[in-house]
Amino acid sequence: MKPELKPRHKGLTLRQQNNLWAYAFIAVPVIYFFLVRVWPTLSSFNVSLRSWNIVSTNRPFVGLDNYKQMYADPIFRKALYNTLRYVLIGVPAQMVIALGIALLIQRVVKFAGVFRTAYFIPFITSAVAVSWVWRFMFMRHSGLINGILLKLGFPQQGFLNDPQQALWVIAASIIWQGLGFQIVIFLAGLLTIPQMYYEAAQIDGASEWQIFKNITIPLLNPTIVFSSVLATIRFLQTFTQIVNMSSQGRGGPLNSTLSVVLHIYQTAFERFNMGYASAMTVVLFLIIMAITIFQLKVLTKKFEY
Amino acid sequence: MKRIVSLLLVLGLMAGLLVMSGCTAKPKETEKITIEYWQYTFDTKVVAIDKLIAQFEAANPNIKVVHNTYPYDNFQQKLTASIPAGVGPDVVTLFYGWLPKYITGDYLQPLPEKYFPLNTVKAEFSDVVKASIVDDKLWSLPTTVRTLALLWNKDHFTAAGLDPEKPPTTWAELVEMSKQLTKREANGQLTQAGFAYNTAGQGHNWLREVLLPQAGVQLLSNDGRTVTWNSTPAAYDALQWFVDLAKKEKVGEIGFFDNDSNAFINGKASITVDGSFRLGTLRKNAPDLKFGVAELPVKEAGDDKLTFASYWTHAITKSASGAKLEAAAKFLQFITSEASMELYMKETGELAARKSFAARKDLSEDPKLGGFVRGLAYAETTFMPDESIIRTAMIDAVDRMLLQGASAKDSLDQAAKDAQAAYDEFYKGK
Repeated sequence: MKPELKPRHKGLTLRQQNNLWAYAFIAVPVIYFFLVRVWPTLSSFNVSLRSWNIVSTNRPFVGLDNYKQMYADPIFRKALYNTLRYVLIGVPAQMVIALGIALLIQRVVKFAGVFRTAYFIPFITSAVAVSWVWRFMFMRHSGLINGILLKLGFPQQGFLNDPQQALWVIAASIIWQGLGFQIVIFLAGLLTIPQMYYEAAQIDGASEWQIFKNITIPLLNPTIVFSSVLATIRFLQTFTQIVNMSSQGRGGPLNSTLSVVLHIYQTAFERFNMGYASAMTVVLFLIIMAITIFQLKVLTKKFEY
Repeated sequence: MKRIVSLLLVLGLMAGLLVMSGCTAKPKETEKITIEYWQYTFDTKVVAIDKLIAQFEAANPNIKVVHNTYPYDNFQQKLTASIPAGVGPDVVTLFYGWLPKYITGDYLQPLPEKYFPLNTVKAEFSDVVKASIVDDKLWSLPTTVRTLALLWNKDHFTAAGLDPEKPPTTWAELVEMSKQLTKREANGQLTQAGFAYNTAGQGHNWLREVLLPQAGVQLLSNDGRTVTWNSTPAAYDALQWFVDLAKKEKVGEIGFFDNDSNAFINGKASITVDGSFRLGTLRKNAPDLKFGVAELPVKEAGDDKLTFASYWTHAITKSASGAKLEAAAKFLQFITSEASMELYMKETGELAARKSFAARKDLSEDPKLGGFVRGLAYAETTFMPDESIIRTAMIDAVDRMLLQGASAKDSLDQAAKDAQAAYDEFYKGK
């Protein structure tokens, strides 16, 4: 039914008419959201209980077999461990650096826009392109970084070929690339802090550190929570950088950079085991949800001044 | 308005295609049958197939072949995603090691006996093709196969004081010559690798299918269900020998010039083990490189020669039926004919899959192709239920030793266990 401006039914008030319009407009994104987000999520729950070779139309129900397989799969455990390392390395580093730079940019009077743009450019650059530039920089042979190390008299490093270092290099590239976004969020957050608190503190003779600790951080709390949730989810879903930077794009060497999402991808599209891949997707979904709820509950604090 | 018109046009076109694909009745003379062909993007192969399609369409004016290619890295993803969506190819070119997954997934149909009688195929095609016969049915046929051979840079040999016409013929010679060809800077940085070392390229195939058997290892149990890579102590020695090229002899390093073929093409590595498909790339990217092709070295002088053959192979999917199936079979017959092989071989540097070519002197004595062609006579191909698992198992076996100092025994035992998982999965319930 197409809502009309002129009421045909006497019972329809102007308010109801307006509501009808509102619902009509909201319906479009809701239906879209349901079709491309909710429904696939639900069907992956369904697939996770089946054994399904992706090229087959036959999908027998196998109960919790896929979940049992996951429990016994050392590669899944390794991928989960790596993913947590990406988060634990990446999220704090990215937020601390971004906040630091945001505070500096905020103080800059001239060229603030130039700095903001410079830091934001990596974020809008293709992750694949960035990954390959980093890959070339960190190549063992004729790579820029190793060239500098050799000039300074240090031994050549394996970097992406070394199971101890590869994850750090990839994490660093993700941190660097996401920095611009976090800086912009922090800058916006800093603007919402009323100037009068700073003035009052300065009159009271508070030190820079006291001002930062007692005014900036507490009042920036909503921004910090938002940033950390977004960053965590992004690091939990790490994929592109690993595919493009790890040796052979397989999360190597020796699975040392393999993330859960890449393991899911390989299981689904190289080994064709959609059921098992879906089961891992469900577990990842639950982990992301749990961590997000935890962050929102624990980190969010109300401050009254 | 323009947008609406074009939208309508697209919708109409889609509806038309749907009607066409649903049509199984025998078409009238004037009606055109469209079949879809997919392969991964590899420049020389794309050109070769385009030329063959033009010839085929000229000979069969009522058949149209749509040629689609996707990059290697997401080819299987595109293919698998197309299936539940009900689109996708009628004829598809797959790596032979992928076949089992598509057969058990019920995605392919056996090639029609009418066009491809099993006995004729067995008689006319290279024995390598046996990996396409599963449950006594023929599931695919290749235009060409590839073997491994040894490529060496003649200029490097001359510069190092070696005879540029005498490539290494045994394992020991390979090590010796590679050492003489390796160059490093004062700080130890490699500037020229004697051997292009990379497990992930063809290294894992060479190690598994050639070096291990040369050391006397049987790769699978007699019933083909158990991985026996580590069945004799000699297997550990063979793995150790391969790892020592990088670790002890230091004639090459993983990641040097990104990968083995890059290093060789750019004249930074002197000796490499690679497939015949590299000839096309070398001709295109390094036309001035002076290199020779020889058969793979043996363990001790006088041993039987051995090489590994693999192939990309054309199969017909379940989506072809009726007139489309006929057209698909005709197309497949055409691209595996002698004339097509001749053209394809010229374009790509791969080796024609029919036995009739192996006897041809002009091929076996060709300075470039010859080393690969002669290998066809004794090449072996092992049935692989899941290529990616087996490849990873072998790559990891080497990495564990190179990067974590694991012993050959522990590492190969683990690799055999990792690979066994693929066979267990395939034979589950059989």
